[in-house]
Amino acid sequence: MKTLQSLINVSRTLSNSWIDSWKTKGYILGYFCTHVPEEVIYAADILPVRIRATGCKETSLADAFLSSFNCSFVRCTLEMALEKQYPFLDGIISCNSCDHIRRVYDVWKQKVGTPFKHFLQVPRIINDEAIEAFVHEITLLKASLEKHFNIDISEEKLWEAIKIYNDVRGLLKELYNIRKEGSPKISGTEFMSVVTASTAVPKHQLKMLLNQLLNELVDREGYSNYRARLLVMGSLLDDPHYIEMIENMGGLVVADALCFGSRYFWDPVKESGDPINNLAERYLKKVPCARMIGEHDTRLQYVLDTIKEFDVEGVIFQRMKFCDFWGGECFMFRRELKERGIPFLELEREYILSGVEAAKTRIQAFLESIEARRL
Amino acid sequence: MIVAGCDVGSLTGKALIMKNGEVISYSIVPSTIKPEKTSWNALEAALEKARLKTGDLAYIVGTGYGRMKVPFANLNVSELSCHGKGAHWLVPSIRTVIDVGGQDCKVIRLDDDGRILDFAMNDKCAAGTGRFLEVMAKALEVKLDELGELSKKSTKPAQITSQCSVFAETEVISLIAQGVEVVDIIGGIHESIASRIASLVHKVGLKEDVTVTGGVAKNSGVIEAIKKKLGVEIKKLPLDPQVIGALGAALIAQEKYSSKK
Amino acid sequence: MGEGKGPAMIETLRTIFSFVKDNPIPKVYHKETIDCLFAYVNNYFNYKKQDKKVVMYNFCFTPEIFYAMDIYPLCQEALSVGLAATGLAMNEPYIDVAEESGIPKELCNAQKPLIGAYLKGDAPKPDYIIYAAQPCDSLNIEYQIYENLFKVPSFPIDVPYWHYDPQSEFYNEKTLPYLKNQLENMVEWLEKQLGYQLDTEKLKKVVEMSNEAQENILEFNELMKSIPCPLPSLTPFNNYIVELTTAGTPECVEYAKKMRNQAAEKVKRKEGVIPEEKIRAVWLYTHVFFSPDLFNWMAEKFGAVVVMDMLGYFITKPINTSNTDKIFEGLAEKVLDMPMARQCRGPAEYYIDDYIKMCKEYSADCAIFSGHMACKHSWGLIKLLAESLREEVGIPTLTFEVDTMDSRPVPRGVIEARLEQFFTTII
Repeated sequence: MKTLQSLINVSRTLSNSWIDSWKTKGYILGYFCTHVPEEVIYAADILPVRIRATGCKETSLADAFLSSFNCSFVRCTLEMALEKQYPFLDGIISCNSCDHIRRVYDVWKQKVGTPFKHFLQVPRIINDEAIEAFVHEITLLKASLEKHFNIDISEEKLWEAIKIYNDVRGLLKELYNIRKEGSPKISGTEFMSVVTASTAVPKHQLKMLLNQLLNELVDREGYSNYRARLLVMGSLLDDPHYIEMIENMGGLVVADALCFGSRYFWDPVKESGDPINNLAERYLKKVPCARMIGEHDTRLQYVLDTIKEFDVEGVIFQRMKFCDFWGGECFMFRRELKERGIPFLELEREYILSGVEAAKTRIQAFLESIEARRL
Repeated sequence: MIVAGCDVGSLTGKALIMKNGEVISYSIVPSTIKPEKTSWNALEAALEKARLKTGDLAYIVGTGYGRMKVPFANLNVSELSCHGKGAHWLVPSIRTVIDVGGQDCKVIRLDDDGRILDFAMNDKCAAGTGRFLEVMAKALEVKLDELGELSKKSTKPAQITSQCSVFAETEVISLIAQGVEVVDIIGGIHESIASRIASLVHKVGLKEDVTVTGGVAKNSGVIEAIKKKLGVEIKKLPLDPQVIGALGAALIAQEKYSSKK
Repeated sequence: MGEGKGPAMIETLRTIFSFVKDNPIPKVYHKETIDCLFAYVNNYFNYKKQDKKVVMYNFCFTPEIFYAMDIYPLCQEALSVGLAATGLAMNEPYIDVAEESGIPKELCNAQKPLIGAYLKGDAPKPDYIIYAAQPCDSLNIEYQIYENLFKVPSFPIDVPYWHYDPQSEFYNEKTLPYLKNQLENMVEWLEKQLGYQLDTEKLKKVVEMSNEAQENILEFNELMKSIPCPLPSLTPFNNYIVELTTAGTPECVEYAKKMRNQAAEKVKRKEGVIPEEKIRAVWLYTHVFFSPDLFNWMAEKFGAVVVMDMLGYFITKPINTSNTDKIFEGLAEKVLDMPMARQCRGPAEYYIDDYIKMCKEYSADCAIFSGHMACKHSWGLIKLLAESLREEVGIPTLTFEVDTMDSRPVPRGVIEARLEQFFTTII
């Protein structure tokens, strides 16, 4: 499982050999949030890398600017930035995903010397006017990139980027669908590692790697010794160790509704028409984050469909402390899944993995109760 | 068939032995730093009482905080499942189990067959746990096992507003200084603990019959306070409430061994 | 619920206002304010009696269109926060019910009580829910929960991040059209729901009245800059809640005139609210709702007056009523400029620049941040703000944690200790 191992390694570090290699001849921009249209950046021959805080141990520098009421994810990213752990970034792009993300950008702007910074206004609702507004924002982003990096982003380059990104999305979906099987050949931990790695590897190389990985998995023996099939959803989660904690207790995570998971690659961009318009549509209409207003029913249906298709027996809803959007969604999902008799477990967490014993007790009790129902 | 359940908590270790479906002995020992040692101590004590040896046991299930470190266990099961199972076996009408331990408290909702429907835990802070009572007993210079009876003597329980037990301790000290009657302070402490527990109960919904397990269940004052707060009768279990987890573990050991054969 | 009785939440509010009417808390809520609010809550029952519709909206939105369309504008926060704001903690049981049912503790208590009330059967059921998605995540998700629970027709409005003012660093020419267009769509949507059209003449009249009230409040705000501060510290907030709920009505105009005249009188006579004004403080957030007489305590004990606060800073411009198009434009600007929305809906600069200006205009000696623990976006910028106030205005900032709507996590005694420590240091 050579390819799988190299992707797992990528997920465990902030930087990697592809980033190092890209850096010798091109620029790299970090982006917060999957609402940022990566293709526009890639079309400028700039590598978009999703900002993570992998390896962050504490937030003493960040806490001088952000507060203990801000989510640990943004505090950790600010910490890493202040500790100069993102030397490979030539700039950052953020958007108004949520209160924490917008404030870390406000602080970052003032306190971290990143040369290029751009903020995208992403609509919170989905309708024609919102798509139009998003088209305008993406156009501004494009212009901003062209100006700062002295490059022309042609329509041709945009279509190329869209094509390669769609290819990658298709491959990730193919990989994801393997988990529908009774004995999936890839575990939840491994899959999350792959998706996390995908946000840090150039898509041309990634396409090759994913093809290799799919080949490697053909003859692999599937995971069959598990207690229950689970779906994980909730706040931003980029740490495969969290999934590992669940799987070590015997629950196999066969599906998710995470932004470092299925929601990253689920929807393709239309490949005919106007590229910017198509990007705006896709990035707004993709399987919605809890920040998207009026879309709760869409989120619910997505999860219900996934539960059916992947034979899910229980849902683990993890929410990061102070994450209002997913915190509120949790309330709604608990009621709705309980109504439908779907076992539901809520876990509170922080970005830096902690409280493992407490979480394990709950996960174990959850698995035991699912098993008891089968009898 | 002889089986055993071993519940390794952070403050006490418990072991319970069942023979052919009947409880024949149990033990409660203080915990040591090493869960492995605690589990041995508990099991040995229970074996001695039953005049048995380790080799007589067909199957052993470990539970509790230290469940993964019980060296002789064939299986480990969460204390939530075990408390639920134990309580339901003793009194099949039980649907809500409130476990008030030394360092955490949990509420378990059971279905008609004694399986877990839902649960809620507080293992983050001392509020609503035995630790809270310990701290208060010390502050009031009263023996821990006298607290319950004293609380029942209170006619005007003091209001303890602090949500955190560390701040509550400060509050209690200031109440003493203000000259509030010690029994009323104790009454207030018991109301406070009942309040925290009630909050946890409401998270999973209350359904009768309700019972309380764990060491703190031996404090009649806490039982009274919970009863008053929730407005329901608390069913007493016909066994030491502190060993219900070990009982559940032993019952599961029985099931596992039978299904193996 | 018997004849004439409404949902418990509104009944309780009505009872509280009627109690306060007869037992006023001096220097906290003016008689004029309570009269207006009592009439406002009573109107709920009047509208219901006439079988008119009720629309629930959020505190960062304005009710003129609703009055023009003859539907009752029920401000959600007037309920959830109103129950806390008289210091009687009537919201706290609802908070507990909501939290026990799985609403995370960290969500804001400005919205949580309605969920608890719903679960208890005490909440009013609106016919429609309309909200502008600002100022924060907590409101945005809790209104989605309302939609999920009540299951009534709803129309959420997306609020742009950028500014409409060409002078602003964050100007974007699409800002105003984007919001204005949504307001127009909202009206179209309401017309379909109600089965009748908006009477644009009526809208004009309603907005003209709203303008008249606001012109008086603008003058009032200018008068509050005088030294010594002429009226009690909570007065601007009094104005806010009246405008928030009754803008566009004749009652609101009457109210605004009275307040403006009161301020003018005091300023003419150079009369301060306290005999010796020692400290002028600007409040960097909403005040501590559960402790409405806190400002009085500050004034009496330390000679400290709060000359302006976040919700009291109602400086929206009167709306151009020359045609319907301009009215919608003006209303869109108002929604963007309303108190709290103006500071919180966008980049930290909106908040910081607003307060630098406020502190200078109101001659502040110091700034105080009653850090509401559920307010993640304001906590996310307070260090930057305090830094800016120190550097650009030369004043110190006090920051403390509190739940402005729940008296239990950080009780009044702790707040007093923090304020005392601060004031005795800076005098």
